[in-house]
Amino acid sequence: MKTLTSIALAALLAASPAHAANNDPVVLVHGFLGFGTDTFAATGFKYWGGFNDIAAHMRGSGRPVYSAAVGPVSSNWDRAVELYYQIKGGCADYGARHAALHAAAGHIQKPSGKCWAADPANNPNNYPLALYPQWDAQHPLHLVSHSQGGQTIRTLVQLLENGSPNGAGSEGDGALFSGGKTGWIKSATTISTPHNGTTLRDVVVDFVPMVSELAGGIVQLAGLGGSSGDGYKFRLEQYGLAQGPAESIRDYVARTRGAPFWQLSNHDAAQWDLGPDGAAQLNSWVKASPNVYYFSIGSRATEQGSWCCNNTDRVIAPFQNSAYQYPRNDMIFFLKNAAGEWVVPSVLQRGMGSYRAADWYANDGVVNTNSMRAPAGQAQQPFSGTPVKGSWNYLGYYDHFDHFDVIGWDAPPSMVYPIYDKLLNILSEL
Amino acid sequence: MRLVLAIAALAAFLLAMLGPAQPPAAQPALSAPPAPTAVLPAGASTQAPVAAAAPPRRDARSTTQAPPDISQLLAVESSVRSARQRGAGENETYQLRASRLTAAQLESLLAMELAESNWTRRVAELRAHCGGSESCGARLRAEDQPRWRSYADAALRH
Repeated sequence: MKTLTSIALAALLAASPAHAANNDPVVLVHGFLGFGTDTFAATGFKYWGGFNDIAAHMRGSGRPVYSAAVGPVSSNWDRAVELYYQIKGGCADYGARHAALHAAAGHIQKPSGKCWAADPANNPNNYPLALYPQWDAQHPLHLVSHSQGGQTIRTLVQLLENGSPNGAGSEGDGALFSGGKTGWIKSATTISTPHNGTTLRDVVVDFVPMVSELAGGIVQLAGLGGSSGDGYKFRLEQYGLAQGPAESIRDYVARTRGAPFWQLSNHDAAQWDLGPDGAAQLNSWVKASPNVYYFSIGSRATEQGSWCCNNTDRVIAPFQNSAYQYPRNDMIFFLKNAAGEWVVPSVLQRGMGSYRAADWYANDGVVNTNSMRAPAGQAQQPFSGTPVKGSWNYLGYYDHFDHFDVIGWDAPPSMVYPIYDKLLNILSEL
Repeated sequence: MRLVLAIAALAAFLLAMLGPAQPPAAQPALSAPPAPTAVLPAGASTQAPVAAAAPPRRDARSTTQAPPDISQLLAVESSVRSARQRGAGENETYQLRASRLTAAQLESLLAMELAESNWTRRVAELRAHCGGSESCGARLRAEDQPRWRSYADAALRH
């Protein structure tokens, strides 16, 4: 009886956050076209949860959880810089060499409008407050990311520990480029991240920013009024493309659409990093740190082709090929057109479900499931319950989850919160 | 509804940012390797999209081998879905298809829909008996068990 009581007590203690090995904060990092908590605050729609609230749910364990907001269309280098200063405080310094390399496109090393205050009592310019100014090796963080956010946090870890990839001093005196910040990140988790790129970048061609109408539409449909300018932000101050406080998104895009930043030839942008070629370039210098626990989680919302009865959308793909993948009925409707054998209906070209090679076909509507596991060439293994530091611990993929289901956009709490409960249980023991 | 509209706009935005707007490249001569096993029912049109297979790792546009009637087929099926949503009967949908598709395509669609209907009924029966877990599939014939997985509850897999 005493033994049973001891076992029950041990189990209870193990499940209690108060007895977790750590209670270090979590910072959530969004993906391509993501946004911060202030963007649609009036309607309550959040990147992390939609009308659910993943951050609040995670805070229920007693752990601080912060939601970062970085450039939604920016490169991972720029996003990592912004993430650093947004957490620690200070004004973003994108690096001398980096800015010079992209000077033709208008890159600025130290733009205004990208500052965060570390001390609320000393904030004469009313900068937004940094998320966790005490951040250092004694006060480490867990980073949890979705989609492109996974590439961003990997880049941040690389820069924190190793500094400039082109040699000491090459990027100037920015705090992020000095290296040596080992131990600042305890773990890095990626959810549905295109570690090796996504073929969506290839199957929907050309980087044509019809953002005026569409981004304005997002804001309008989210209930904030498309012309107010008080909504979606592109955060491109580092390219001299600051959005005026009263400038509508429509006007902003109309004014900036000819800027070099939006051209395909600009490789300092999300559109490059998200493709297989851009991701490979990133992976050539962003390596896994031996000091960090890495976790990856995937998602899939396609099925193998079948002549019937595989729960796929038969209007988009009435006749199917068993070699290819097709979007499930429950994939969110606007992702279906590019997820299957063809991009339908307006452009007749191969879709993600039949493009590149067979191991790339399964996808979640935005990212190929095989790309979510780990960067090519880096150590990885299925998570067995004992995490391995410096290697990718793959938790598996959530089958029947599309790219936005995993962050709760169109999913019930019972579908999305268990993903983060499971993850928190793992992080708590690190 | 507002959420759906907002998500739709965001996705349209995403697609616009990543893409399209140019017409497809001219159709190259079909030089692909033999097509993988097709699962089209007997009698289906050889012009259906299953006949095309692309060599891997080529530009998605330049390997476009879609038969010219795929857009017609998709347009018809889109019309059929709309018609059904507004309550159209089988006669009307049959006429919609028969006027624009080949006899073989029509026959294949009807066979597929009949099979889907029968299968969906079996899925409903199975769910009523033992829920949506994958283990419920054990009650099915061996050849049906892989199908069940796509209808079973969402799961974390490796």
